[in-house]
Amino acid sequence: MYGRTLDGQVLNFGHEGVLYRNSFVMYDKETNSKWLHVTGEALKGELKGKKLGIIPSQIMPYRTWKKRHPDTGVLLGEKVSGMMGTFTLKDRISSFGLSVGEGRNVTLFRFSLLNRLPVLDTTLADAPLVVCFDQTAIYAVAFRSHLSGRQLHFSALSSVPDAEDTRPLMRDAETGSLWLRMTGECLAGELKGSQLEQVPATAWLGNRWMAFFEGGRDVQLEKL
Amino acid sequence: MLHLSQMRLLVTTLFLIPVCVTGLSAQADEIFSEANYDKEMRQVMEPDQFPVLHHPPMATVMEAGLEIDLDEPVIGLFLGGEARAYPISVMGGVELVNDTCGEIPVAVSW
Repeated sequence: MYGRTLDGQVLNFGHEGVLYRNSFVMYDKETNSKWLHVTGEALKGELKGKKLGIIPSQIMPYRTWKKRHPDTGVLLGEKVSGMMGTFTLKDRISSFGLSVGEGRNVTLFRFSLLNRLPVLDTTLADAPLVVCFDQTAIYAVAFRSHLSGRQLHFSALSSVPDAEDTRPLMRDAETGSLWLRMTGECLAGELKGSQLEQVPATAWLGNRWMAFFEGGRDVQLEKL
Repeated sequence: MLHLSQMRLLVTTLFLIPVCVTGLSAQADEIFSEANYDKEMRQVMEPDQFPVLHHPPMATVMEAGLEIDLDEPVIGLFLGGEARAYPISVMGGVELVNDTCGEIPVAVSW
């Protein structure tokens, strides 16, 4: 998901009909520059070298999304089955990862790893962050774990026992505050009301990520 | 099921994974170069032959009804106070949407 405004100009994109490393290429109607849809980077044309800004988005079951945003708009249209159209939950665990960061400096956190370690304290370009995973809805999100001059370390909690609210939680070791794992909002404790800052991150098919970032930091259980 | 000591080892080892940053930069520079793009790109159809949506109308949750299965994955966007859901099953046939959310122009790609 990208912003379409670049240096004050709104770009409108079309499909170039080209595959590059198995990912499709966009062109903008304003300059006819060629853009990689997987990274938002122009490889050719007047805007070569420019990058679109990543807008944080999340992939999750419709049930979870509309519960969180009951007034959401929904895109309807012809459905496509198969690899590009649908994934079972099991498919998503084995096939996807969360690519965190921008440009070349990205790290892929495989869902298969996050399914085992659903709250993972780590760093990216020396910046501390926490990568969080919802093992039921099968999606991941990343937040900066530095808050108001204080470094926080998190551990996963299951939902509150006997509560109707089943949203996954985490707790920080420094204050013992209770956090919503997938939104970064502090629910209770000393830091109640605080909000962690979401880090640009995109869900990728692991094999497509490898086609662009082979040799990159690919964090998965199999490598341990 | 991992024993606690194994889990500790697992977590400790995780942070010791070697990161080949230098190797990636050289390799990535080539992958993201125009010369390599020209060499490897494959024209598989005519430009604009694959459908792209421009500011498609959005249904309400009520209007969507049962058209979207509750377990179906969607790309969720919350921006400028507005929420939008792009079902993967629909995006699979479109791949690209030029849209505006909360008055901010966005490109949704899949």
